[in-house]
Amino acid sequence: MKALLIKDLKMIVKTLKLYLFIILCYAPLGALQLRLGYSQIFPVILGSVLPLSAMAYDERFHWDRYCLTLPVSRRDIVLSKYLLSLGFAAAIAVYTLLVNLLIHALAGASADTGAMPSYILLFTCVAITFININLPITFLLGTEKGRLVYLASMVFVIIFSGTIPQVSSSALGLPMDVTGLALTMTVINIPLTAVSFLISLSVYRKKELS
Amino acid sequence: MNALEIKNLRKHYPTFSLNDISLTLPMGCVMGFIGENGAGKSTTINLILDLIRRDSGSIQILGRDTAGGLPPELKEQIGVVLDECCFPEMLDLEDIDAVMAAAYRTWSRERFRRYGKEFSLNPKKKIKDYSRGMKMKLSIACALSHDSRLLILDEATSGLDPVIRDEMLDLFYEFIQDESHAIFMSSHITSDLEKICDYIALIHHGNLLFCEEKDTLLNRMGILKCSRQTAESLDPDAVYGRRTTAFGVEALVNRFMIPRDLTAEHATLDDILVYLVKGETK
Repeated sequence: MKALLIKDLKMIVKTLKLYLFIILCYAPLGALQLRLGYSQIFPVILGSVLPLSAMAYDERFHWDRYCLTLPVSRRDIVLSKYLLSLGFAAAIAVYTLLVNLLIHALAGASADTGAMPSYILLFTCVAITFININLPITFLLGTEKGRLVYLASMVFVIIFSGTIPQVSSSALGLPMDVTGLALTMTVINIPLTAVSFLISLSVYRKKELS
Repeated sequence: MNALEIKNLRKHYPTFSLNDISLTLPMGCVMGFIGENGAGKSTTINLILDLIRRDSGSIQILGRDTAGGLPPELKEQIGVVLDECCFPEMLDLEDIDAVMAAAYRTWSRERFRRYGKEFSLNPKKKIKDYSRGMKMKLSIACALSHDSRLLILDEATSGLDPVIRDEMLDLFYEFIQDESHAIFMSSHITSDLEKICDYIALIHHGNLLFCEEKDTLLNRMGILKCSRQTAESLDPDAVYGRRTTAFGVEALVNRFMIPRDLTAEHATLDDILVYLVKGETK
């Protein structure tokens, strides 16, 4: 599996430099707005979809076929995509949080910084939900056909991310604040990730690569 | 122990079926797998490599049954060259080396670099800038840079010029000097197979027409040029395929089953392939 992760990381660094550049730049640019919203979620979502782009390259070069002839199992292949997606989401979330806190501190802005970790955790959970929905579909249909679901779920994520910062617990009628929502999402995502992984594994074990 | 043993292998698609393929490749031998495009060569190789699921039948590789898939420790001993270079084209030779070293416990970086130099593969160039020939050489270098005992080559020499092909055949020849090694290769370039193979298997429309020792096969098969009347008088079992020309009949025959006064020229693998696949029925 180490080989698969090395290959994906090298490929992402070499081909998706622009994505990485946008992610790295967007977090501080967004933070300069000194408010919570798209600026925090955009890099996290963009980072989490990088492995889906890597899967598109795998299909294009028929690496998905070749790598099954290497001493790796189908389980390794599925697991590597989850690890990569979750790893990217987590790393970019930490980066976004640190950059936001730093810029807020330098700007002397006090508003909302206390809630920022919760917001970013919430958005990371949204990104992970996005991964959990899209990876099984991409394993099943391939990146080309899976793109429709990918776009639909992206629209949902954007609407959700735009709504969350504005709504209060009373407006939603929920007995919880953003921190509570973030923790709930975290708890929900643990079994959701396990189920998503098992579905992907089941799909990929039956997949024929000719 | 056999390197590869396939029994009654079947795979059905709506428009194509692979029917009861059975063949055995002993250790220390090279088997050439021939057939026209769409005959079922790649389907068979995909089944051997567990890239697609078989409907029925059994496959043993290096003495191990692969019904439950190919375990990593078995894949460690198999070198594969598919009909195209499957490495992401933005990577370079050093990247491939790093990836493969992490994949194979027995990967030899020294051997891979030696092949890179031997094949004139520029380590700084990205794969996308390689020619088709260079890409195939890279795939072959990868297949040979770990402790493979069985090489499975799907059109590995296609796209290579005759000089490079000859070099590759020398490499395969060197590989097969070890009695614990074996090669299973599909190719359209039958002259290559004639040079290196011990066994030839011919597949046509998903059916295995024969799988036998090359020398026995080439000794048995002959091309007989004769009149129509002579052709009609031959034992039907002696004629495998024929073509009617303006001057008479050309037939692929069993040289030991035709009258002694008739002389059949030795047939090449190309002749055998063409007559069995395209020739008229007896």
